[in-house]
Amino acid sequence: MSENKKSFSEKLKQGLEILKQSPKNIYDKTKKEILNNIDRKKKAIENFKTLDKKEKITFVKEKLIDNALYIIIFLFVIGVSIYNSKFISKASIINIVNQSAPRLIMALGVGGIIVLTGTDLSAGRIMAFVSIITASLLQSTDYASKMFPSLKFSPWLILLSFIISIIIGGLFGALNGLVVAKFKLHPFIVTLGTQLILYGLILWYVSLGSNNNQPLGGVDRTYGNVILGGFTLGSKENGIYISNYLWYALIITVIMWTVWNKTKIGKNMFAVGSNEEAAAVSGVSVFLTIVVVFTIAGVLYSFTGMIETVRVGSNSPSTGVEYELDAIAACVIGGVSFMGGVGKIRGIIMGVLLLQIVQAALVFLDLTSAPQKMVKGIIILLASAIDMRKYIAKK
Amino acid sequence: MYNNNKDTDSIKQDTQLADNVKQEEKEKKPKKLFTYINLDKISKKAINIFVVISVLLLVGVLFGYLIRAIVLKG
Repeated sequence: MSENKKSFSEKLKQGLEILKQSPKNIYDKTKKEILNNIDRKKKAIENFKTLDKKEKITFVKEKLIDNALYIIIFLFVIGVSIYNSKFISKASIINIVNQSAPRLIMALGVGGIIVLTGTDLSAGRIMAFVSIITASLLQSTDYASKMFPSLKFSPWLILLSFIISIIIGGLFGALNGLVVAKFKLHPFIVTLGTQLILYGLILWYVSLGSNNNQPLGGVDRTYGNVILGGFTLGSKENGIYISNYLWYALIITVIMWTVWNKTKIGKNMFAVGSNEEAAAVSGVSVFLTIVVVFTIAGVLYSFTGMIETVRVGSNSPSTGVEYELDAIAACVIGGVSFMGGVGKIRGIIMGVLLLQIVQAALVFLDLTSAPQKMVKGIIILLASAIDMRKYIAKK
Repeated sequence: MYNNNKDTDSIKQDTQLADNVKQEEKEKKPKKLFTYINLDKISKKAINIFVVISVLLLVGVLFGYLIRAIVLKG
């Protein structure tokens, strides 16, 4: 017993030592990575200089094709800014960032699944289900069309709904992952099934109590402040208002970056996505990796759901429609390869922002949702074509 | 129908050959978790054409709408 205690205290001491050193280690490693990147770029420039004229042209042509999407969007944004200077105004930029934040959280979840060469069509419905449940639990006590009139609002309900949301998201994510990993079914069909189940559950849930299939609104101001509250950066007249949910999105992004780049599960995820058999031979538990990645994704969708409950205001069964498609599109635009094993968090951030910028630009051109969808579709086609081209070139 | 003329050795050889072919096909299969498309069978030229068509479509639609908006404003 005393030996056990001793070994435990020794382990605790060792753990504390590692914890003390870890920020320095992380700093050193990051510094080393940055320096390596700079060296690599310097070498690439030197190599470019040694090429003959024909090779230089080929190199530039290849780079142009690889970055064609970004170049076109950049030129389009310049065009729209000239057409309407309000597009690059502070208000417009803040609006784009605000719109992007919840979608980014969802895209981070979908991104992990795409790295595994999968996809998730149930993301939007998981988000909607969480959004509706949160709204129903957190309606103001004096709200006229309250779904559960006997349920009085209390700040404790915020914590309860948070826990319930995380559990729901995690459970549906884990269910997707379990079916995919155990039965080797394609995630496309598994998540399609889950999506329909969730839609049924949403329709059933909104008919409960005295709601009578009405959209759920009237979320209490206390919870509203938790999400939409914030502070103004700079003066009150000309400052930038930063909502709390932007911070939440930022924190989640940092956590996901750490998970992808610094943890075992992140490394396993890329290994399984690159080559499942090789990963299994190397001792990676393919089953566990798939389940964990899907579960994390489910939890991230529920975070988006909790934000959208307040941001959207009126939560109905149509909430979350096409959210998953936007998330998948953002990942593909951001370079998360459908061929698996490739993807970066900064790419996903870039993808979400680019998609949102294009959407905002089309609104500035007074276009309806029809051309917006068309453009989004073409962007996805081009992004996947470039992705395939890169894959073939690498081979 | 079973071919009576074949002796046991040749049947064994045939079985062995069939097994080898199966094994080779199995090895040729992509080792990805889920595969959307087998890119080994697609030429770079085809992909380039796909990229060019997509680029032209996107440029056409985006800048077409931009020009339309400028013309309407003018």
